[in-house]
Parts: sequence; C-alpha cells; structure tokens
Amino acid sequence: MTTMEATIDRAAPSDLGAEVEALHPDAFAWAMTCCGRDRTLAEEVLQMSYVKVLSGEARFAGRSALKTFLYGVIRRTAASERRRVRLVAGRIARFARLSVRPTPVEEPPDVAALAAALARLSGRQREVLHLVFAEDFTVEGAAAVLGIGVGSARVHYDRGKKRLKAFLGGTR
Amino acid sequence: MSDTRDLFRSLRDADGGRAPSFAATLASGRARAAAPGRPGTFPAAAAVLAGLVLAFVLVPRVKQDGSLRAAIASAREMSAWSAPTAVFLDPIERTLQDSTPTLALSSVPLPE
Repeated sequence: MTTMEATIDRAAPSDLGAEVEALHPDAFAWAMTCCGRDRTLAEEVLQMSYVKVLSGEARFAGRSALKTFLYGVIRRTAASERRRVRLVAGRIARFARLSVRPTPVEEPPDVAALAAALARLSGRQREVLHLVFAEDFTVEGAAAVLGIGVGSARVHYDRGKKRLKAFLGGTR
Repeated sequence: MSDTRDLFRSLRDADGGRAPSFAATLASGRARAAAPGRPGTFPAAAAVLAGLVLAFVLVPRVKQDGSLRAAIASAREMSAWSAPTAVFLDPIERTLQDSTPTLALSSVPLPE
C-alpha cells in the first residue's frame, strides 16, 4: 500500500484533504501546464492552492466537481504567481542585465516532442488541450476550469489542435 | 487523435510520477502560509519605499537650501513694495470717515 492510499484509508470518506490527495499527481501535472513547465513554480503554486482549498480560503461549495474546482484554483494561483514572478524577475533582470528563464525540465523521450510543441502554443491553448486530451474534460468543462466562455474555449481548442498537429507533424 | 490523447496522457503520467509527495507539498504550503510574509519581500519593499520617500523629501530640500536666504529676502522685498499709483486705490469710504466732523455738543453753538 502506498503512502497516498494509506492516508486515504485513514481519512473519512468526506474528508476534503483525502479527496484532494487522490487528485495530487494529476493536479501536479496540471500545475506544470499552468506554470509553463517550470517545476519549481508548479510546486509553489500547488502548495498555495492546497492551503487555499483546505483552509477554506477558496471554498468548495459543491456546485462543480472537486476536480474542476481544484483545477480552477490552481490555474488562478498560477496566473497570479506567474505575473508576480515575471514582475520581480523582470526587474532583477533589467537591473543585472540578465535573461531570466526557468530551469528546463528533463522530459522523457516519448513525450519530449509533445512538450516542445506545447511550449510553442499560447497558454490558453495549452491549458484547453491538456484538460481535454489528458484529463478527459469536455470543452465545456475546460471552459469552467479556465473561467472563460464555452465559445472562447472552443476557439482555443480548435486553433491549438491545428497548431499542435502542424508542430508535431513537423517534428516527425 | 487517440495518438495525441495517448501522448498527452503519457506526459501527464510522467509529470504525476515526478510530483513531490502530497504531505510534503501540504506541509510546505502551511509553513509558507504561517510565515508572516514572503521571506525578504516585505523588508526589501519597505526599505525601497523608505528610500524613495527620503529621496523625494530630502533631495529638493538640499537643492533649495543654498537659495533659501535669497528667497526670504526676495519675499520680504516684494511684500514691502508698493506701486506709485497705490494711493489712488485708497477706498473713498476711508477718506469720508476721516473728514467727518465730530458731533460733540460743545462744538455746536446752541441758541441762547
């Protein structure tokens, strides 16, 4: 029995913490997507998101699935953290005349091409495609996570899919 | 498209496999939340703000300090100056009041 399973067994079925823990690996993958595959930032974002959800700062009212709610919190936290990091790093870089880039993640060979192609898409396109292809969300569900209209999500989905196909076709 | 879906799932699983443990993530998050602020952010921001305030307050004063006496002298000179035609600006009421005779009884000859 893994540590995660043991923790879930100990927790009551209604325990929000246990439910969040069950989503943890996928939530980390989602945080990686929201953070432009910056692992350090993704970890920080996840830490902050969990505290928000479990402390009640971000209240889960049960109007949507917990996964939709948690992913929404992660996305908003990532957006705000990325903005902050961009501001601070930009100032420091200007001061020191450096270019600040996150440490590149070592991708497994079978998905390296996909990760490289995703890096060339816009953030929204990446997020919609991740939710639909990796998490089996519908486009409507992805729109709910991203806090955008369904029409807008559909446009991001269609354009992202076309561009991704072109990029992956170019690498194969 | 299922090929793409498989690729996305592989990437998700690879990321999920490299995720830090849930307990460690939550503990770090709680420690971060319990800390009074982001380490170093507030003191640095306060120092920068204080520096800016001091710069705004002190620099103009230092610049003006040398010419302060001259400015006071100039202000005094200007306040003492009066135009040659200022006399015409005297209100007529003041002239009338000055020339109004007093009406004391001793100054009026009363009939015997």
